[in-house]
Amino acid sequence: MATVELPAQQRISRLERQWRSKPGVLGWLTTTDHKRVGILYFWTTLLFFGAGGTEAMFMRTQLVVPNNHVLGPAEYDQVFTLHGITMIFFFIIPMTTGAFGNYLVPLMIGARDMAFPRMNALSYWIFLASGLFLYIGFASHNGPNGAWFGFTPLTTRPYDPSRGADFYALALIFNGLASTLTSANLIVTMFKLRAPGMSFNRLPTFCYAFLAASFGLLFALPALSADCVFLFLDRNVGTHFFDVSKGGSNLLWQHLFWFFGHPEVYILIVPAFGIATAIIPAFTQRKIVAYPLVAIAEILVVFIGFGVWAHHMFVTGIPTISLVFFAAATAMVVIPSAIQVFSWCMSLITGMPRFKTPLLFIAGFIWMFVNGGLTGLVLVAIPFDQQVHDTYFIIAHFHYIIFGAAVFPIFGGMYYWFPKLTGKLYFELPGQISFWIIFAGTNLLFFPMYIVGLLGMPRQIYTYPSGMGWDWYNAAETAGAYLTAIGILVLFANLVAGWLRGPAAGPDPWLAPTLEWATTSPPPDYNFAVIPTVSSAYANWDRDDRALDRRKLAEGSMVLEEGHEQPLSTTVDARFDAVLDMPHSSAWPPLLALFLALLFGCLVLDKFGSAGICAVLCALTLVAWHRQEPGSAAARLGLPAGRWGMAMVIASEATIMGCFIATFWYLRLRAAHWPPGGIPEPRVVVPLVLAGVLLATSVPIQLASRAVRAGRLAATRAFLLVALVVQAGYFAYEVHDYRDELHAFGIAKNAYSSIYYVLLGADHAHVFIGIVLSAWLLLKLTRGLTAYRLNATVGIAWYWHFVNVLTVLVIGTLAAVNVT
Amino acid sequence: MTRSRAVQLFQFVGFFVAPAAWFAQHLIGQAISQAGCSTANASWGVSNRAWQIVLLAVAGTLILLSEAAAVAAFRSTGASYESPPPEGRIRLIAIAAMTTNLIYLVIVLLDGVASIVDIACRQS
Repeated sequence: MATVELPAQQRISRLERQWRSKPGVLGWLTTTDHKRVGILYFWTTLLFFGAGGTEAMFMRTQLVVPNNHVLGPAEYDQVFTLHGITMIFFFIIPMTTGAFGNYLVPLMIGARDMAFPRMNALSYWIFLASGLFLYIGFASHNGPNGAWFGFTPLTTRPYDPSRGADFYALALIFNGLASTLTSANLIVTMFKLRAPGMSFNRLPTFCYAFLAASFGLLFALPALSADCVFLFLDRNVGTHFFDVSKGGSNLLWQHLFWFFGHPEVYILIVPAFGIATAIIPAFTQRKIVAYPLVAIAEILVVFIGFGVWAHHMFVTGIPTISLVFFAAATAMVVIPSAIQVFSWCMSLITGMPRFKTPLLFIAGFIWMFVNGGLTGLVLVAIPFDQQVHDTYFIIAHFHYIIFGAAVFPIFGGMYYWFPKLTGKLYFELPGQISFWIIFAGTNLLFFPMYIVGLLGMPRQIYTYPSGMGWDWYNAAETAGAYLTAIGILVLFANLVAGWLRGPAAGPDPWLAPTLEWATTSPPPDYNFAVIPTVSSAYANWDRDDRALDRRKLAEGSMVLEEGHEQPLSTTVDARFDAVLDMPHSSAWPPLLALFLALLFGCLVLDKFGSAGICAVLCALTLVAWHRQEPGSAAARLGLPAGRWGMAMVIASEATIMGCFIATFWYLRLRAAHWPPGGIPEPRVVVPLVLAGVLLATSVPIQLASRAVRAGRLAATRAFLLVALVVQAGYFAYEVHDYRDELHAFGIAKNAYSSIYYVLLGADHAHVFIGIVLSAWLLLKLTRGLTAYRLNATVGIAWYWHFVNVLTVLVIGTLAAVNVT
Repeated sequence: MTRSRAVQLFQFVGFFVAPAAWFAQHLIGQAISQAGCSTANASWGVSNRAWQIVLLAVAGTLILLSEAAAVAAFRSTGASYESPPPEGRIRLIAIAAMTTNLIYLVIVLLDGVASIVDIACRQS
């Protein structure tokens, strides 16, 4: 007898057909589903965690007794360098933003996917390729060996003739690209794809934490990329950014690195704060205490983190008057951290805590974070910092923060969301046992490091003589390391056992407050059959709203089953705005990542011509990627999320160019005469006039932007063409001039010539990219106007305004030499 | 300008102006302190103290104005921060701004006063 489907079931069947992922390996290779991308991130980062953990075990085994020789000094240098790079760039960041962020953020905000699904897949493939790139260097005896912070001059060619530092610099630039794409995607997703009703005062604190971390990455990574570009050029092109004898500076490396590096520490732990603020309400069955202050504190920690970078440089001889700026900011960044600690503690005290394994890890995290935080606070005192600098005291502080405050919540989060991911429950007793072993092991591992640090044991030494009073502490640390490893093995064994034999979890085993628990475990491909109704920050506790969702499903309201559809909401108050037709699986992201990997491979082998070919292949792949435009559903109200994407690009590019301009002025400060070395002063009048002409092209570009919004296609094309002709003329003249100047004085002459050509070259590259984008757009517009092309026109107009202002700033900076 | 538009403006002024003022004072202030002790300053003659006083005054004033705007936004609505937008959102942003602006003010004062009274160019 034929069964008749109810309307709700019919809608669900249609959603399943629309959103079903491709099966098999090909499905995983071409997936753009945020959950699958998150799972790919999860397993890949676990592999890197295994590698970083193995490196740690080698180090601790080497240091278990004095005068040990498990590793030689050269191997030890590579192992501790790889350990740091792996744990920071290839485990914690991708595990939090990549795995947890990708999997959970869309579910928590009631979305069906990320704002840019294909870019999301691209970020994963780039991440994977960058990790393989780094470890290929290690396997080919070219592992980096200058620590995770890669200080110059140790990483410059005279001190490190191997390819290790090249792999380091290129791998971090490559990896930074992946993290930038992920962070931009998370920001736009949280700004534009929140379920209607989820205004900023109803956003879960977990999402605030990921928003803060994403903004942090977006603005911090460019400084690291700029630094790594300089290092690569110094090593391979002969520039002198870090060559003191030619006007360069090794402190330049440190300034740029720590401008990235200290916010980075907060970027690592803030997602962990978010995990804590998700787990605590679920296991205390109460709202988090002081929600507004917790939300802002998560953002504030990262923001103030951008003002503390030189507290890593208290022993470099910088005047005290400069250091006080960083001491003050470092002292004050404690306040938002303390706000959160008080909130977590008060929520536990005033709630009804059930100390299941996830909450145990959060309790352990609070202990570790307070411990590591307080020992960080004492480092604000400049004289104390100078005494313990580069000792094991710093290693202890750092690991209490990074392992205790970042990894503990990650473990807690693994247990907490395991039922959502698998539909199964883990086993509670082994879970609790794993926590206590890890907690005991990490404290035994890291606490004695404070003592040996105060006793004077320096960091990064491959062995030590007996009789220094360090022996038993080191033996205890190694025992702690093995205990921790056992605990981690128990943890994963428990999760695997739960996956294979655990009882069914149901959709919401913890009675948790956030929306990911409002759908099945594991969630369907479309996440939610109905876009959820939201009227508080604890949406899954709002039973009336969930009942309303069920009624909506029956009525067909907010089901959006006609395509790969996702509602777009307004940025601040999340009011319903439009319906987007989201892209589905695509082969372009892995292909583009492959060409990028080949490009970086050619660079590290000095095959610059081949690298150029790879760059062309990347560009062609991007053109092919964008041949297929979104369907008619997107044409209803346009794609403002795309404009947000362009804003993210501009923010990131502005920061990297800001780093270049700051480098110019930093090097200027160190020279009595500028330009040094008999280089003639740059011309002023002609470049400034030409920059003014380029700036004037903002007028036709803006007119094109207006015309396209009014639907005047011919006018749009005409304005774009006028601007393009002028821009191309400017570019041709500037390239000619650039080549002439290279004949007058080479890039390798001194630090001035190095930054001069890099700054100017980077600006020209932006102009060139703008010309390519405009030409591509004009070609597209010859075939008519669509919503996609409208948004592309507006986005490219924004890009041109940015480039034009940038050019004036760059030319102005170079011209200012004449008056300074 | 209507009252509601003024409140909308106050919340964003309260939330964004103070951090911008602190960050500008922080970056420019430390840059001037380093420039004042640099090789290039032999010909420039940058007066660290004068610049720091100006920066402190400007940043401090902006933060106080920002705090006043946040307080005005806070007082404009008696709603809970959990209320529907815009009242709930204004309340949330105002609470956040009032709290954080005080932190920025303390950093600016610490930065400014220390860089004015400390001996210039003494190596740490």
